[in-house]
Amino acid sequence: MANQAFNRSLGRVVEFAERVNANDPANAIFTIRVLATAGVESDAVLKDKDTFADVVSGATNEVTNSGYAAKTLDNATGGITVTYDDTNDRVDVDVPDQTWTAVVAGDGWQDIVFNYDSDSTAGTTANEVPMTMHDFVVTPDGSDITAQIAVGGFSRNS
Amino acid sequence: MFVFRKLAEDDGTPRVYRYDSMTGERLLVDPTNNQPKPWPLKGVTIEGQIPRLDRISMDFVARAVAEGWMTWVNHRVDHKPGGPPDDEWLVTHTFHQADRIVMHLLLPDDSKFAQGGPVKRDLVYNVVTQPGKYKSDAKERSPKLSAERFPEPESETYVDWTFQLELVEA
Repeated sequence: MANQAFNRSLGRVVEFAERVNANDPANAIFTIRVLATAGVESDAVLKDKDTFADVVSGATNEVTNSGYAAKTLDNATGGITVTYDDTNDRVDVDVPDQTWTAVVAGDGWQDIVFNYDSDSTAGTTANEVPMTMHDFVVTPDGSDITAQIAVGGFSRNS
Repeated sequence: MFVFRKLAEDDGTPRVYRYDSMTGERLLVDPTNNQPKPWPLKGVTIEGQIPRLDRISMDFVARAVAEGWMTWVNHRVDHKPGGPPDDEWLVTHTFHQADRIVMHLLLPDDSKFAQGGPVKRDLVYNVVTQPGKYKSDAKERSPKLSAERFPEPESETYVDWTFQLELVEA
C-alpha cells in the first residue's frame, strides 16, 4: 500500500479546500475516515473509486472500533490552512493532527482517507468525494491514536 | 480559515524542476548542482480577509515559528497521557501552548501615509483555547454537522491540536 490521490480528485484538493473556506456550497466540509485492514482492496482498485460509499462498496470497510468516529473539519472549527508557496511553486493544504481517544481493540487500521463533503447537514457517504489516502497501520489497544499530518500538509500540490 | 501566501523574491539565478524519485514530488533545484533551491522568501501575507476568530493547527504554528514568521508569547509545553487504562503514560501527548501568537506579515498599507505596496505589519492574536486533552462535554460541536451522519465518538475525552485565536490588534 502507498499514499495516493484518488483519480476523481486529481488537481482538485486546493479547490475543495477553497470551497470549504468560502462555505460555498453551504456546509461544505472535509471528513477523515479510516479503513480496516481486513478485506482492504489494492491501491489500484481504490484509486478509481469516486465516492466514499464506493470505496467501501466492495471488500473494503470503514473501521467500527468503539472510540472511533469520522472526523469532520469545517471552515470555522477545522483548523484547515492553505499556503500558496511562491518560493517553492506549490500549494500545501494542511490540517491539524487528528486523535481518536481510547480506541478499543477490534478492527486493525490500514489507511486514512480524506474526503470532501459538499453538504454535511444532509446526504450520505455517497456525497463524500475521496481526495487522498495514506498508510495508517495501527492495532488499537485502548490507547489514543493520533494521525500526524506531514510537514507539507495532507496534500502538497505542484 | 487561514490562507497564507509565501511571497518569493527573484534573486536572478536560474532554477529548474526536478522530481523526487521516491515520492514524485516536484522540486525547484539549482541546475548547477541539482540541489533543492527555493526562491528566497520575501515575506508572508494573508489572502482574503484577515480572520478575527479562527483555529489554526499547532504544528503549523510551530513550523512558522521555526521559519521565523510567527512568534509565540509565553510559550510552554504541556503533556497529557494517551495510553490504555492499565498504562496511561504508554502514549504521551505533547502540546505547545502560548498566551499570544504574533504573525509577522507583509500586508497592504492602509495608513494615511500609504505609498502603495505591502508593508511589514504584525498581527497579534490572543489564544482563546489551547491545544490539549479535554473532557468530551467541553467540546464545541459545529452546527453544520448532521448528528445522524456524524455522531460523537464514544469517549470521555478529546484531543485538540489547534489554537483558537482571536485578533487583538493589527
